[in-house]
Formats: sequence, structure tokens, C-alpha cells
Amino acid sequence: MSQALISFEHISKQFPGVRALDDVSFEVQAGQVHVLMGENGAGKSTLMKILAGVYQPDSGIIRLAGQPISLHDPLSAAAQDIAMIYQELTVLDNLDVGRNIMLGQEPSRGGLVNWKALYMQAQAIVDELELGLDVRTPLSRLSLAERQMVEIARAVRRQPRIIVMDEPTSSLGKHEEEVLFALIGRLKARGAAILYISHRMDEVFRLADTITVLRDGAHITTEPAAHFTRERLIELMVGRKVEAVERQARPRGAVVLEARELVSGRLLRGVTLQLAAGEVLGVAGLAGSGQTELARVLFGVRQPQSGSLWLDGRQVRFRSPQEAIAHGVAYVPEDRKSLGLVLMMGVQANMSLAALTRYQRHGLIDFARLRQLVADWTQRLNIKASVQQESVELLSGGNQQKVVLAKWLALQPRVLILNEPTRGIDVGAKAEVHQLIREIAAGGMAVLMISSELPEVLSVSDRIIVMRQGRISGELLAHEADETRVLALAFADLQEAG
Amino acid sequence: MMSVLSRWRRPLLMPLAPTSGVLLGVLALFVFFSLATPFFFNVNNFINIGQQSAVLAVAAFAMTFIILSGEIDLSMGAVGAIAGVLTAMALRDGLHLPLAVLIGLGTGAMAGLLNGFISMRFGVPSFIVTLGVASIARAISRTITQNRPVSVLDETYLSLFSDARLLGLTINVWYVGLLFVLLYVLLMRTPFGMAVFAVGGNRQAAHLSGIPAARVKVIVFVLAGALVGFAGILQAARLGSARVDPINNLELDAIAAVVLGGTSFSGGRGSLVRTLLGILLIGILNNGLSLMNVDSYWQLVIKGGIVIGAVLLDRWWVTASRSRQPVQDKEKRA
Ligand SMILES: Nc1ncnc2c1ncn2[C@@H]1O[C@H](COP(=O)(O)OP(=O)(O)OP(=O)(O)O)[C@@H](O)[C@H]1O
Ligand SMILES: [Mg+2]
Repeated sequence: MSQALISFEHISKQFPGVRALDDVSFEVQAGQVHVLMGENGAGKSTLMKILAGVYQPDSGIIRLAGQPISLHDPLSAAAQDIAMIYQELTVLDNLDVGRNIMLGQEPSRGGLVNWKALYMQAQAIVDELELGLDVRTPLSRLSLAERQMVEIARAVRRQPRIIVMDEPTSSLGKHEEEVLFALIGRLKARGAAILYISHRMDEVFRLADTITVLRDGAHITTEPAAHFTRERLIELMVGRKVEAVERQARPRGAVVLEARELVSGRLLRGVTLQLAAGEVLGVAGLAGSGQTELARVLFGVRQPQSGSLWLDGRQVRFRSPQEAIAHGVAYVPEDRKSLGLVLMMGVQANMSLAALTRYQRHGLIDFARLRQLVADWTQRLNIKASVQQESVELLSGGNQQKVVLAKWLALQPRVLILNEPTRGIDVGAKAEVHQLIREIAAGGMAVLMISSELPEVLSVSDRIIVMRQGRISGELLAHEADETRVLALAFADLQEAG
Repeated sequence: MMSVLSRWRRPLLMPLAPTSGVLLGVLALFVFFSLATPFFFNVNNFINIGQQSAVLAVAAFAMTFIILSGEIDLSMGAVGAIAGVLTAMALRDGLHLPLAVLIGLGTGAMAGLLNGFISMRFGVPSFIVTLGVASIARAISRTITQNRPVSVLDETYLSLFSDARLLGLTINVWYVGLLFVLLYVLLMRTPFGMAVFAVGGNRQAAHLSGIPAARVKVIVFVLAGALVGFAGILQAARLGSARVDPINNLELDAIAAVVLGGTSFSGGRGSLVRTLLGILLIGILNNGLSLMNVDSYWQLVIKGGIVIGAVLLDRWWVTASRSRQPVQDKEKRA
């Protein structure tokens, strides 16, 4: 085999209270997709941030084509043609698409930014990625998936030799995913090395040429993808076998939440549904078909223009999330960074945010009970956090997501609305979360679960509704649902449109 | 077994540790003034420093809440002044003392309500709203006083808010102490305090967690306004008259004290304990420079320089000592 493009040699990295990387060595070849696998907190993002110059290793070196290089900041990494798509988006909400894509590389004429050239170049990239976006749209108006694509566009703009993608698909829809995979194919053909992190098995096996497994900061193995089966991969990551969710059909309880002809702008055009105690109702559909808007209306974030909401057979109106929570409705939003967490606050504070008034005695917070609650959920969801990590922004992505889940589960709501509940959560933990969702439903909670991951919807739901252009295009029972049927409904043209 | 900490459950003094830069600044100034002027190092002067810093301290507490919640208040000097003026006029016109004091506090609270309500209801940045309210407050106090200070003769008032002493310390220092304890508990031990941090840290996430973000901010403004009203009452008592013009540099000194204490200007991160250090630094500085008879314009220049210097020192200290790094911060190789 020819000389490796990147060699990681004995890389170690210690954070206060956490050994993130422990003597990691392996090589990455040019023209390959090299996938990094590992549980939440295994050290994948940390290693990639070292490659991108964000962190310095405590010991060890990185060689590029045999030459030791020093990457003391992101700029020096960029100078080596290394680009990174971060797990937590780094695009700027206050700028438009074009300026985000060209950030730091604005074409200039006579010292001034050449706006025309800037937007033309940005447009070219947007077109190549089939984003269908106007380069002058402010980022704040885009969906999470669209922002993720802008992040990707920005990274590939410079035609990098090495490109790191940290869970790029965790917020993408089917179509964007295909665009991304095609892009990866072109990058590969050009001889670039793609370092790819994902918790989704399907895409890992589809894309990977080589797979490296990390566990608790240590390098476990690096082998050609063909050497792995799904089971072996999981076992290597987790260090034990993972059981699939078992599900028995259960009788449906009484209807708890009912929506009648909900309409909100162009996103929600008349949705009627019933949600019963003890069931998991999965919501599938292409990204942007109105799922998130439905959740926001049900949770009182958005007021519907028409239609009504019924709780236990009585009509209700939630004018704010506060009112929805007071009625026992909880909502795990799709974007933990901007909607789910207060990043600079600690695990305990974030977990208790929705229950502030429940944990008080004589007007003061009852910290003893709160600590107990946090300890329980930390253990139950196996959240990796250390005492020194004073703010959740220092947790790994998957562990952050678990904190958001814990915050709402701890409330023990009657109706739980989940929007991409396992985004960024590793396979082992994902199975556990699925199990947990089944359990709490069995305990009588009514669960509405929106997910762009079909296998997730199929394996956890009792009933599945498929959304298409703001309407429900069909409903399936768990035993009659499969990927083809769901996709057929997701793509089906609605004839009875008004 | 894993234990998870949050910023709410740390011993009272622990937040001081990372502020060692500012602590260092305080010590350095202390040594410097002790050597530079014979009048600095004695108990009476220390009592003076406390007395002179009381008004600033109350305003800085208020500013800590405001900045933590992600807002700013530039009306403190003007609101403090008008609160003092109205209290003094009430006393002059023979109102009962408690009533007069209530008027002062109420004036501050009303101004705070105005600040908070306008900026939340109409989405105008508090930076702008509070500037406007400052200007209005100033105009009103000029008009009602015909631009002349209102002297305060009420003995009880003077003694109750300035002259009385307890264990050697002037009474206003005791008020500062009492307020500190109350506000500390409010901020660190109640759901409201937690909401203040959350709203300043990520307003959307707070909203989606069922925290009425706008209402929390309005309450913070009202609370801060009442505190500033109290600062105005203390100031009028200390000077024996209520001045018409905004209390000198009040909001800027308060902001400096808060930021010196390491509270993040973008909200959500900070501590009341550390604001106390910032107050101490500015208090010592004001006192020492006056004792040395430094020209008041130069005082401002020096103060500005030292505030910036102390913040830089603090940064350096935090980085140099094994650090807790903020997000996306590239690490230093010490
Ligand atoms: N800046 C930091 N300060 C302190 N600890 C950190 C920091 N960054 C990461 N960690 C810790 O290092 C460990 C590895 O984190 P990393 O982000 O690399 O995990 P990951 O493999 O990417 O996980 P995930 O799949 O959840 O994204 C985690 O325990 C995390 O909490
Ligand atoms: Mg990660």
C-alpha cells in the first residue's frame, strides 16, 4: 500500500476529569472514506478537532504524507488543506448563505469585498450541492437541515485534501443525504481523504472503505470495512452485545391528545390526529413536511391559525410552552444546541430547567432532591459527565442529547413529543433509549415521536403517520408498515389538495 | 459513581478562585496606596471606603442581575437621581418618612418597569430604551426641581440611611451586606435565580422549557430599578441633599464592577460574589486617587486604564493557571 496520507501516532488528550484520547495510532489513506465509530464520548470529535487544529494533543504527533506537522490553530490546519464539518454547527445565523459559505475567503478588489464575485462563487457551490437556496437568504430563516448543508458547502468550498465530517447526516433529510453522498463520491474520486463520523449503521456500511473503532479514548481496531458485520462492529464499540427492542402489541388506552384540522401557515395544512395513552405514534416523512411545525403547535410554541386541540376530551389552547407543560405536555426539540440546552449551564441546571418550580421548598430550590434526580437520570441514561465539566458545552454531542432527554423524561409528562430524540446518540445507547421510550409508553405515557430515521420509526412505533406537504398522507399500523410503504406515502402526490 | 455539579451548588467562596487576577489587582492597589499616601492605611479610611462605595455596590448588584439576564441598563445614574429627588421633596413637603422612602423605591421600580416593559413588549434593545428613560428621568428631575438641589434636613432620615453606625461601620455598609445576602440567595437558591441565568444564557431554550422569558426579564428590570431607587436614597442621605443631575458615572462604574467580576457581557454566566470584588477594586481606586489629590479628569483616565488592565490580568491568570476552557477556545500550550 502506498504511503498513508495521515498518520496519527500515539495521540493522547486529557481534559479536566476526562481522558478523552489514550495513545491512539492509526493511518488514513487518500481517496478513501475512513469512518470513525465509537460510543458517545469515545473521543471521535476530540481526535478530529486535534486534526483541525482546535485542540492540541498532550502527546503524540500527526504526519501528513510522512511529514510531521504542527497544527496549532484552525488556520494552520486550513493551510494544510484540512477542512472540518463540526458536529455542532458553526455557521453564523446573522449572515446570509453566501457570506457564510465564503466566510474568511471573501474575494476582494482593491481591498474591498467584491460582493458580486462573492455571491456568484457562493451560488456555484449552492448549485453544485443542489441546495435550491437563494444565497442572500439569512441563515436564521433556514431549517436545521439547510444550515447543515451550508456548513458542508463552506467546508468543501476550498477543495480540501482532507475533509472531516462529524455526524453530517444527523440532521439531514433523505434528499440532502443523497446529495451529500454524491459529493463524497466526487471528493473521493479527486483523491481526497474523507474522515467520517456517524452513528448510523446503514450509511457507515454504504460509505466506508475503512473503519476505525474507538472505545473510551482508546484505539480498538482499524480494518477494511468488508471485515465488519454489523454485530461485530457494535460489539467492538460497546464491548458487549446489544439487544434489539422487543415490542409486543398492546391494547391502546384512552385518547389523551387530539388535534383537529390544525392549520399553521404553509407548513401545516390541516392535520387531524389522535394520540392515546400507552402508545408510541411515529411521525415519518421527508424533512420539512410539517412535522416540526406540528410539534410546535401541539406544544404551544406556535398558535394555529385554525383547528383545535383537545386534551382528555376537553378543548384546550396553549398560548405558550409554559401552559403546555402545565397540562402535562413535554417537547424534546430537534436542535439541542439552540433550542434544547443552555450551553453554559451545568448538567444539573439543564436537567431541572423545565421543573424549576417542582423542586423547591419554602421558595428555595431543594438541591438535595435535585441532585438525586440528576444522579438517577445520569445513571439511567448512562451520561458521561465529570465533576469538572461545569457546563454542558463540554460534553460530547451524544451526551448533550441525553441531557435534553433526561430533562423532559424527569418531568414525567402525560404527553411526550419527541423530535429526533436520538440525534447523535450511539448505537448501544440508541437501543437503550428506544427501550426506554417503549417502557414509558407501557407505563401509560402518550408518545409522539418524529424521526427522519426510518428504522427508528419502524422499530419503536405502535402506529405510524406519514406527513407530506403539511398534511397526513397516510397511517400505518406497526405490523403492516415497512420502509417501502412509508416511503411511498412520503413521496405520494396528494390529489385532494385544496 | 458519578456526581454532577452545577454552578448552583458551589461553596460561597469558590467562585473567587478564578478571579485571582482581580484579587491581585485589589491587593496591588492596596499596597500602592498604602505607600503612596499616608492617609490611606487606617481604619477610619477603610470605613470611609465602605461608606463611599455603598451606592455603587447597590447599583452593581442590580447590574449583575441585568447583565446575567442578557440585558443592559444605562439609566441607573439618572433614575437614582430622580428617586433621591422625589424622596427629598416628599420629606420637605412633610410626608412621613416610610412613605417618602417608598416613593423613592417606587420611582426606581417604575423606571425599571418602563425599561423592561418597553424593551420586551416591542423588542427594542434595552440599550436604547434605558438611554431614553435616562434622558426622560433627567428632564423630569430638572423640571420639578427648577434645576436646584433639594436639601434633606430630616434627622431620622440622615441617620437611618447614612450617619448611624453599628460596630464602627456606617449603616449603609450594613445595608449593602444585608442586600448581598438576600440577593445572593435569590440568585443562587431560588427557581427565579435559575431562570435569570437560563434566560440570559439561551432565551429560546429557556422559553421552550416553560420559563416565561420576557416576564423574567421585566421582573429583573423592576428589581434592579428598586435597587437603584435605594441607591438614590442612600446617595441623598450621604450628601445631605438630592442632586438633580445623574449620579456620577453610576452605571458605568457598576458595569465595570460587574465585568471585573468576570460576569459575561453576553449573559448567562457570572456571579454576585465576584461582583463584590469588582466593587472593592473600584471603591479603593476612587478613594485612593482622591486621597492623592489626583485631578478628577485624570482619575477617570487612570480608572479606565486600571479596569482594562485588571480584566487583562484576570484573563492571563485564568489561562496561566490550569484552565477550564470555554467552548471553541483553542487551547494554550503553557
Ligand atoms: N473541551 C472539553 N473539556 C472537557 N471535556 C471535554 C471537552 N471536549 C470533550 N470532552 C470530553 O471528552 C470525551 C470525548 O468527547 P468527544 O466529543 O470526543 O466524544 P465523541 O466520541 O465525539 O462522542 P459523540 O458520539 O457523543 O459525539 C467526553 O467525555 C467529553 O465529555
Ligand atoms: Mg462527537
